[in-house]
Amino acid sequence: MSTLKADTIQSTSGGAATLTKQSAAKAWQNLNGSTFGLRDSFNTASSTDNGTGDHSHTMTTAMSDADYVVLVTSRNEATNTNSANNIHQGTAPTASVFRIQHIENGSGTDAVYLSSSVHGDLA
Amino acid sequence: MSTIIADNLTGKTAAGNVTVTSEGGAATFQLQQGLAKAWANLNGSTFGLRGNNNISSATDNGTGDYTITFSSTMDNSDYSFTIGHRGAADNDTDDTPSLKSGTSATGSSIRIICNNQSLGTLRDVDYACMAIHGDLA
Repeated sequence: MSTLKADTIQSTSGGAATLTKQSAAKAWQNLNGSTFGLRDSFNTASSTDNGTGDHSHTMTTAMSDADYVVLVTSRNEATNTNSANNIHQGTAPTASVFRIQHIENGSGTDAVYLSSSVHGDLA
Repeated sequence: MSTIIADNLTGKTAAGNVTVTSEGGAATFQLQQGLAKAWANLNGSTFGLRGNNNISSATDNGTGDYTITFSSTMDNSDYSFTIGHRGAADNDTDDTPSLKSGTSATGSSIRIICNNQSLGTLRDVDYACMAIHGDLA
């Protein structure tokens, strides 16, 4: 077995190295939307509480464009309730900011657990 | 083009820190932070894992209620979890996969449910997929 030790990996041209077609998440967040605060995160400069169940995350290093993937999952506050976790209706993501909503029974709701991840290309 | 073939990739200065250059070349980021630390594709109907990484077991707690246990634990419970599923029918908006109400993720496991509003109960889904991002212990 061989072990390669290096601090930085680049392609020969100085760009991104290909990791045998693997892709890493470029940002992730574990947010407490109730007391409001990030429990933990990666590549996240700040989070903003826009209102009940309505939050924005700003990435430290921006994506190359706004065409990245945002995935959001929550824990519902009420048992067996109808809910959704969405990109904010009417607010398109930008290269550095995305806005998400947690909705229960038709109303914005602050979720104690609201997790998200971002996949795509960094700038 | 050059290709490095190796079995292990370790940071030279700090074993758990390898920096890679972004696709656009304008930034660098820590490779380990972006890697999914666990993932699972679960058939909740017949119950069984189709595929997974770093999952030691999946437990059927009842209809639409599953516990996923990690082989290598996370360093705490503050990781990010994302869950997807296949709906009961085309254009179905009634299903919601989520962390089970009243439970918290732990460093070693997470309990997920799929609630169906029309049924007013939990529902077994044939495709439940999840990914975990954060720090391994």
